[in-house]
Amino acid sequence: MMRWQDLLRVFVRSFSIQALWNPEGLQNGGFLYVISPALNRLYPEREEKKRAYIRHLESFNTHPYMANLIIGYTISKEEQVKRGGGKEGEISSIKRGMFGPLAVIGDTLFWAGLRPLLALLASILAIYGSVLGGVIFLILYNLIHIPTRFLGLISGYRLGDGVVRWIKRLQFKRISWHLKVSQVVVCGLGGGSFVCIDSESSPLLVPLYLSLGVLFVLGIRRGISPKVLFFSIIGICILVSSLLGG
Amino acid sequence: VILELKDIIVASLFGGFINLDTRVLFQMMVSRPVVTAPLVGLVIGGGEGLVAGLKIGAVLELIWIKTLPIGASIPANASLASTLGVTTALFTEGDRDVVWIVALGLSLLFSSIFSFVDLKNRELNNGLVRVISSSIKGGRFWVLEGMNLVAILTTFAFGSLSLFLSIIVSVWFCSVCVGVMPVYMKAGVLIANPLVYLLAFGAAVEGLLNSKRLIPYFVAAFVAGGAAVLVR
Repeated sequence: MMRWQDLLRVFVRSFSIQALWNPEGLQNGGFLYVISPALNRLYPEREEKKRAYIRHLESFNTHPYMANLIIGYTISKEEQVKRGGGKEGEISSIKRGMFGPLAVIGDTLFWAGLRPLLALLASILAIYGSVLGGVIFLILYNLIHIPTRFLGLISGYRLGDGVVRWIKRLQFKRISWHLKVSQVVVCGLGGGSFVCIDSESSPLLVPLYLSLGVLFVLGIRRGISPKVLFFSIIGICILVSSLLGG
Repeated sequence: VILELKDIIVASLFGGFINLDTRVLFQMMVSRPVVTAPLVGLVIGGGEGLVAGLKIGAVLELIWIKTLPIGASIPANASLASTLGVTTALFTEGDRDVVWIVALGLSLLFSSIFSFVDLKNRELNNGLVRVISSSIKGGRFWVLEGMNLVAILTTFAFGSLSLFLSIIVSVWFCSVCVGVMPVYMKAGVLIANPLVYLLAFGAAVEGLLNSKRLIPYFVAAFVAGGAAVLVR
């Protein structure tokens, strides 16, 4: 029923799902904006279209990349309703039931997994003056991000009710663990090499850097903001410099 | 101060455009500090800007690596802060190693103001969605597209305007600060240079090492990283 051009329009619009993010309805305006080409195709008649539009202005919030899975599924459910095979009220409860778990999956895999891993790599290379890390970050991240959005939309639409089983099959906890291990390995490699490279002039700096590093970690863990620590470092270094006579 | 109005406008517009990637458009991570800062630096200041951008971007990225834009939370606006940091570092005269630390400090301070601007921007969207709702009830469906565009444009305007004003204040403050700084203070800031990187690593470790099961992996990698340097 849905033409591929309509799904393509939905896909392109999904890149701005958070433009209308607001504290009252969260992503509701964005959701409606993204799905509206499909609604226009399904409901050419004014009153039906009005009802469908209002239906999708209810509160909605999930991870922006995972939203496409719900949008695809919602389109397939809207088609069912149009054919007389479902109730309008079901669509809302399906959306409400899906957005929480998918937000957790998206936050874990992307915000807390892939992004910090690649950003770490890019930062470590940037400290040594290389732009390569930033380029790798952008390319690798988007090689995963953009297909996730596209496949999410298509899978949600094609699988229909089977989408929940499909999500359950994703072993996201295992992927998330591997991402976490990779993050700390990259962080350890970067930290270890930084301490050794920067203290090449004097080996005595190694224990000093190690102790300070541990202090910073413990300080932040105790709730001291990195901003406060930053200005404290500057203040203490200026004090040391004045005591040493510049 | 080597600052012209044209430079501030270009930096503000470019920074405001990249800031759209934070939430409003694409979210392709161009707005992360480690990408934004070198990119803005390269556009505004060429090779010198790129170097400053890499330093500032790396530190800000590591400091904010664990901040998650989950639900209604509004984390520090890393994109605008890194644009401000790199433009301040570029537009201020003086010892580069001193200027970049002062610029970094200012960008950390201004990040709270940028978050407040984000909050106001999002509150404005409440009104836009109310307009959409009432328009749909009246059968004016096209308003949805219009309001989405308005939301994008207001975010761009909020970001660019707040950057424009903060660049002026920040460059002025940085120039005064570096200008009146006695030699011993400059020496102190130079001592702080490697410690700032260390703090950034500390923030990253604190954010990522959130399970005891991860500690052996971190320690092994840390030793391996150090050993690799020593062997070389």
